[in-house]
Amino acid sequence: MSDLFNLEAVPLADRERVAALIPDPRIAEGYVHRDVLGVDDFDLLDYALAEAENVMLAGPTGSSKTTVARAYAAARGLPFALVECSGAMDPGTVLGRTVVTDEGMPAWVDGDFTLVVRYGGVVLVDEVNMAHPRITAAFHQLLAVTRRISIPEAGQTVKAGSETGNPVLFVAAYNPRYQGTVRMSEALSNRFAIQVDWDYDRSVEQALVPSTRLLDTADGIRSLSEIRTPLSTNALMEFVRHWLALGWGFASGLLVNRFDLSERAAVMRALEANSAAIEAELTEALAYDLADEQADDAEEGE
Amino acid sequence: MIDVYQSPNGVIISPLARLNSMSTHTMQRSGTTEVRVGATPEQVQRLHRLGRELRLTDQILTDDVDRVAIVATGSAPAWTSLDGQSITFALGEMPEPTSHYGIGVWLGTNAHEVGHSLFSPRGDSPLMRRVIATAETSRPHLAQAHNIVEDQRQERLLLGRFAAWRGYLVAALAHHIDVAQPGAWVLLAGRTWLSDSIRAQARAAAVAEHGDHFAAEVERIVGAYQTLTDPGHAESAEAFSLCLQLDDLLADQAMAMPTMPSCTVVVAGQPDLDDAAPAWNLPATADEAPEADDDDEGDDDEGEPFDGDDLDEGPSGPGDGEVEQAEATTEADAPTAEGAGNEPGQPPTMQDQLRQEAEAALDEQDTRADLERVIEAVEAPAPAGETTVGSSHGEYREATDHARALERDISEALLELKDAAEAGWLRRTDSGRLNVRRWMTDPSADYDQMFDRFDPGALDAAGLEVVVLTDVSGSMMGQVGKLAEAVWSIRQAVDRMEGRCTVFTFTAQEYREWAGGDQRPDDRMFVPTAYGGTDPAEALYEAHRIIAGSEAPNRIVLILTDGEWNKGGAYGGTVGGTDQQRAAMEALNAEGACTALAVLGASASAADPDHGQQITRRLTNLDGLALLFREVASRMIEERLSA
Repeated sequence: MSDLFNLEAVPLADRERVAALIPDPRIAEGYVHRDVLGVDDFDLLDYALAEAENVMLAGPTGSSKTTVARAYAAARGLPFALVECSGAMDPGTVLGRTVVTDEGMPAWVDGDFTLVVRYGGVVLVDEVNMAHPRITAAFHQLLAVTRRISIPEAGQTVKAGSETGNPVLFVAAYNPRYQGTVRMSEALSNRFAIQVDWDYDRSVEQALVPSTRLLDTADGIRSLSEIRTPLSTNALMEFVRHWLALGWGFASGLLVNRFDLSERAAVMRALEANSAAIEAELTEALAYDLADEQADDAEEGE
Repeated sequence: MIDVYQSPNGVIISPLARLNSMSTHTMQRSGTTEVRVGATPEQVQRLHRLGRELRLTDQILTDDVDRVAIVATGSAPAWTSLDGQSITFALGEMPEPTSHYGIGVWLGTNAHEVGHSLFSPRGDSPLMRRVIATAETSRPHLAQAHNIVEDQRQERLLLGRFAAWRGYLVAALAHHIDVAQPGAWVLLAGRTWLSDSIRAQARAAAVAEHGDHFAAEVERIVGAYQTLTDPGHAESAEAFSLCLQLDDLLADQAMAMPTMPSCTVVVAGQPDLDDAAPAWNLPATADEAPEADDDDEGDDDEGEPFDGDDLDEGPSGPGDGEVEQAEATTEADAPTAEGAGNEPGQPPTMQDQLRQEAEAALDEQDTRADLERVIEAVEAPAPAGETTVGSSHGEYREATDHARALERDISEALLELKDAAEAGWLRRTDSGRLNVRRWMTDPSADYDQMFDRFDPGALDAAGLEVVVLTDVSGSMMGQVGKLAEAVWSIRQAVDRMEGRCTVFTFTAQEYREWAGGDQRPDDRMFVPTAYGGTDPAEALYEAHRIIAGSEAPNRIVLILTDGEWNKGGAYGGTVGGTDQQRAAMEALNAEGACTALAVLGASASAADPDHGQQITRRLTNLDGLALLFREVASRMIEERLSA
């Protein structure tokens, strides 16, 4: 049971849907925290939640912007709604939609986003700078001090968390590498009191990927403007898992296949150049883990 | 409104930067590839692709190298610039990059230069200042003596870091070094990662010519220099002394300086001392290696050129396998070297053996796959599989600031078009967004048709197909820079909208492909060559073929030209001339494309040329191009609404 979220306060009709939005707490267990200007990331989000301040994360694809919001919601037992603004954003899923009841009358059904706004939780608006202008306008109201949203189709105005007293945290994320064409409203930008860069974090990656040489190579790849395919922390973790299960050729092949055709040869050559060192580091880390496990087993045996 | 964009020097500028003291966004690094050789456009394109491949890998693996150039000739096969940012290859010294071996030599030569960039003392280091000053005053060969030992030091460090590059280095040596020359031992003593049979023969030749003391002294000097970790600064006195000793030794023997794979590299700044390879992964130095003696041939244990204790821990350092393989080539069943001047039945020469060792190393599975990828990248047909015409003539340059600014303006115009498309909305569905107008105005409609619903699968509704035809006739000679900027910015803008943009150049004689529809733009700006007369008829038909085959609802054909086109059949009455041009344009209009003509330059006649296009705009400068795209977008939106 969460100290921050009172599920009992949610009307019975919506309680099951809201409960389903609370992420599995195990998601938070594997999360590696990062330091943000000297503050732990969850402490920062606790503060933002308590003070009703909006948070903007700016970082490249795969730098764990979504992960931190989801893991935080999981850790605190809060419902979580993700709004993807790039490409296939469905306003119906975001805000809700009208359906025809058995009696033949139109009726409004909240989307996940509206549910969280109405009853409390964490909303992550991803790629906020790619949002359709009409959706951006809706966010404006929500991010203002009044924190409310109008749904003309439902004839409602929903004030964030007001129906349950549960807090609502708004987190927006965008990728500064998708530059050039997408403009961000200054008015929108100014509604985020907490704005932090959320780039690939070396200390986080070191905790998840036990090869300095692999991380160096990844940094080299990410640094090039001509290589546009993002190389996420998750992709590096998957590389390690694939290497462990099926070997270098398989793991490196899969990693390289993520890249655009025009990028693959250079990426593969850089990986191959470092293959001996990466494999040695991973082997060493594996041996260390095994030794750790054996020590734990021995302790348990005693 | 504040733009979020990348500045020309690659710095991310965002509205958040001012609020955030971290500013840790990964800095974007650009690079350039230059090819300055007299060759056909196809050859230049292949070399350009090869240079780009080398550069991208170098950029990933080093902090300094940002430019690769290929020039016709030079005093060495390759060299690195004073600032460490540029590697240049002399095409005349390099093999054709068409075979595994040829590519291997290119990669090996590049690896050698990367080693200099990573590990060699810079030009402003105490050692290099002293070497250069002494060479200029009293010892003319001292810089070469330094280069001999430094080459062998940095290659050892390089293989310690990138063990997989051994095969490439062997290939580069086999191509660039004459191992039959009397001084070969001077170059091979510290290259302990070569097979011991080759080194043994080189040593035996040195002993025969100059005595055992000479061979041993070379080993000692090279080996001692190889153990230095900071020859440029902290150990510069010892490094300088060793260079003097080698210079003296060679002078005593009246030996000409052996030819080397690279000229002296003098780079500014600091080498990467802190990130050197771990000791366990390094090949042996010259004086650590067991004595190279051809009497040991066939004895696996004594023939091991590396410190076994060290290498046992290495994951894939060169070791017994390679030695045995190389030694096998000296046995009776060794293949006869061909093309090297030796008679059938005679044992292969040292040069042949080195070449065979290189080919064996390049034939290892991972290396071979690597080479094949490079060959594919270099030899790949033009990415647009939909056209069969040749590539446009011209050269690549870095995109200008003006082109980048123009790209943003064009992107905004296209964004309007995309926004208006309402991508993915299915009409008249039984649930979703209530269509109030339909509800109010169509009393006969039933509930099942009262809604619109978003369907991500219908996102192609916002698809964009753009074909740009560029006039590169002789009269456009002064406009090619504008053309380059215009096309670069259009391609970038369309790419950001996830659209396809195919570009052709045309003259009265031919049309050629500038960029295929599936080819993503990069930071390079192609500047076409202007020649010939003006007749776009064939290019217009090609554009029609692409437009007709496209399912994108937004289809634009833009022609960049300086005005009037040739009249009369430029193609002997088959295709060409005003009638054909107009027919092709009308076919495009009928296909639903928006056809636009941008007239560049002050020389255009007063009256707007009429070739049947829908939109015409005179551009005194390229800023008008964004306005043209806005006009195109408005027209297409209007047509959609009226439909």
